[in-house]
Amino acid sequence: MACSGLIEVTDEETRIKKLNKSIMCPVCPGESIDQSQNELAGYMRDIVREKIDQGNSDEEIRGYFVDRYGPVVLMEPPSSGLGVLAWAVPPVGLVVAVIAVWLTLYLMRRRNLGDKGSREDMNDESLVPELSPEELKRYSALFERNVMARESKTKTGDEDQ
Amino acid sequence: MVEIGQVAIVAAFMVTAYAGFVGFAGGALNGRDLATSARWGFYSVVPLLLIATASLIYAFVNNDFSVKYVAENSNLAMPRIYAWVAFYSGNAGSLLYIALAFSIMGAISTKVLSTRLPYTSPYAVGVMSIVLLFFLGVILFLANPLEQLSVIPEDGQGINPLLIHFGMFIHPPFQMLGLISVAIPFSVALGALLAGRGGRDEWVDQGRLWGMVSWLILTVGLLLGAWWAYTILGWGGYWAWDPVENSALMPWLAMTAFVHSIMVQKRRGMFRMWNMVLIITSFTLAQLGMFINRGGPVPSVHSFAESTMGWIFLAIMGLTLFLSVVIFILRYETLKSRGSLESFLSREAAFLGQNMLFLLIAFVTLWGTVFPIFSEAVDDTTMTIGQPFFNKVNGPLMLLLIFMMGVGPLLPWRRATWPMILRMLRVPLGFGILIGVLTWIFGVREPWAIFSFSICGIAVAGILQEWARGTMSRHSRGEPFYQAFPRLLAANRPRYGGYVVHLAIVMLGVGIVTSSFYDVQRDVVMKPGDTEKLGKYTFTFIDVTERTFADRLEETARFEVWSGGRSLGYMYPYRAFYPEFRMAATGGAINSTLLEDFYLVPSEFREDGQAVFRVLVNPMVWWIWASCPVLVLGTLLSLSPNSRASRRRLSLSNLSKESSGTPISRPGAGTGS
Repeated sequence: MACSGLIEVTDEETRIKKLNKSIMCPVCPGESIDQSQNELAGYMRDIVREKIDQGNSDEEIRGYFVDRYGPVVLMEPPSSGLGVLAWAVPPVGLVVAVIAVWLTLYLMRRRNLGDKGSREDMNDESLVPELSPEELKRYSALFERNVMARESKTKTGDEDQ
Repeated sequence: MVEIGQVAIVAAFMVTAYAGFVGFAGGALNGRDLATSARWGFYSVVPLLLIATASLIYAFVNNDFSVKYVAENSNLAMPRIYAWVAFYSGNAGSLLYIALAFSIMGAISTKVLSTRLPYTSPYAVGVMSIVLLFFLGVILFLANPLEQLSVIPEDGQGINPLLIHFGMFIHPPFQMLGLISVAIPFSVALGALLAGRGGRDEWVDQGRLWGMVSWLILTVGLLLGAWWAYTILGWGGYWAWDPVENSALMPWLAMTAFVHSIMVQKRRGMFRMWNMVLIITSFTLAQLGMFINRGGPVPSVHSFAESTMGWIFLAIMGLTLFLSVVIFILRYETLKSRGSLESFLSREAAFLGQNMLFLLIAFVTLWGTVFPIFSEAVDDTTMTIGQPFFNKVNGPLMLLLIFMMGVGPLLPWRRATWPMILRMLRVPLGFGILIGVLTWIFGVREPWAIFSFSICGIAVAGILQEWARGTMSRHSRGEPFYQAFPRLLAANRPRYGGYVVHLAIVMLGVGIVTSSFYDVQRDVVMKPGDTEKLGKYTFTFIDVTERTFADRLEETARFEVWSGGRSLGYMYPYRAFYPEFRMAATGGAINSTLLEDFYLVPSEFREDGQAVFRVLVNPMVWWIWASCPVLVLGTLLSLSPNSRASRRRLSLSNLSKESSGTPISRPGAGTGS
């Protein structure tokens, strides 16, 4: 992820940083060994570097610390055992939220369709008061002046939210 | 002085109880005199609590260690100016601060409500009094900051050294006020509900006003907290998804949803129940925040005001939630919508989606915060839910939110058609893709980073398009550009103020994305005279100065720093050791530019003269802090009264009422954008 203009970072350093960020400093809850300036965190960073030089995989290195401190030492829950639940709930929540929004909108709209009958009655030509051509003309002029002017402003965003 | 304060607290407790009782009675019996009496009762709590606070601060300033709280949170060595910080640095004092701040804000809102919402305000005063009564009760019976000791110690235990920072003068007060201020829109909403007027929408303007005030305080509190962490805690970061940080973020998320969805009720008479649900959720989460900060069950680096009374807060939170739900159910019938949804493709629908997304992020954050307790109870294994989890889970959701922030405001109310949407989105989407390509050309290879920048591009382009469209149309009606743009902003303040806030959120987003993907950190061991390089920065460690103060030993390193060939002068990171606390506080030295921060912080000074420094280059962090004033301005613009426009809107709504039902009024109805 080298990036021109920014500082060149080797792949190994990126890997070390990622690993360090995934391991918690056991004596400073909530802080990763990457973040913590505690002495112990410093030693643990050295171990990570050493193990990488010895050719260990990320999982092996994490496993090494889990053996010593338990799963609590990982900054994120493992993707096995109870940890799966931690990871599973957010996507399930997303699905539930999408369904909830869709269902709400669907119900709100169906109620609207139910109302629509009456609205369409209102729109029925026969219910519009009969206007003589002159009246209609006068009304249209009035409408143009009063409403259209405002609506055009509305469209440009003066008035409407 | 202390005795006067103690009497004042007892008096405040009794007056508040009176105001609560009389407020509800006034609301139920519709008695004007009762309502007035409740109001004046609430007002008079303010001077009483001011007296109590003054007596505590007086005790701090005069080193009156006969007061237990003063002895625990101050000492002779503490600079006197920190009496203000010491006042709320412990549990009991922070409760008094919360009570005082809430009584002042509540009194102001009571004054405003009394003329605007005559039926709702007695109930609202009642609800506010109950909330205040809880705090005063805890102060009086469980954690009295004015409690006296029988044996007076020579010196106090001192203030937590991490709090000795000027950020501490404003961050905790803002944060605590932010959390408790959620109670004000909550009281307005619940008051309207109790008065049976939740469906009349008359409370909406006041609910929105106080909701936004509360939102603004919460936001500034969060940003100040991040800034404090960045400049003083000295780990080079600003947000760690720590339980206490999360507990402040959750009510913010719910309040953000509320201040948006209240607009749907204001404009369309919809979402009445939903707004109630949102404000109740917000207040519940705010209470949860106070619980977690006060000796909650989750380990955190922040819980300086630790105590076992967190559980009382939890119980009260449960009770508040229960009562709110009961009232909601009893008044359910009054909350039917006026308007109805016409299409899935409408701004109303987008608002609902956005609201859900905010709640989902709050839920996921809550889940991650409490999961360790859960796993321990179920499986007996302690797990950590840290930064990587939240970044992976909340990061994409937040990006989706920024995307919705870009396209949502472009959707018209009521109903849109696909061609219309495509026309509106053409430019923003094109611009977003362009930004993505440009970032790729400039060497960004991280897919998530490119994607994030694209989405920020869409959001910015959407706002600029709206501004350009409005300005052009005003221009075409004869206004010169320099007049057209400010007049456009002034004409619909809730909307254009909102856009300014959205721009600030994009600034914040760009800062967070860039600095979390491209921060570079090295730990270097140096002895005086050594020179090291990180990126374009060259820095020479010159020497260390030791200074002894009454309460601490400070070691300040001096660095000379160059960026490329250009000298940046000297930088002075320091480390202070507080022997009485066995604690060290670090002070980073930061050279900040628009593009990146060069950050130096000492980790350790060794006996042999060598020292370990952490050196960081954090790109674009400046934008995070710069977003704060923009955000405040936008919110204030959005809140500023707009009498001319509201008058016009009134006349327009009269006009359309007259012509409603005729086909001729239809063309206008669907095109409001």
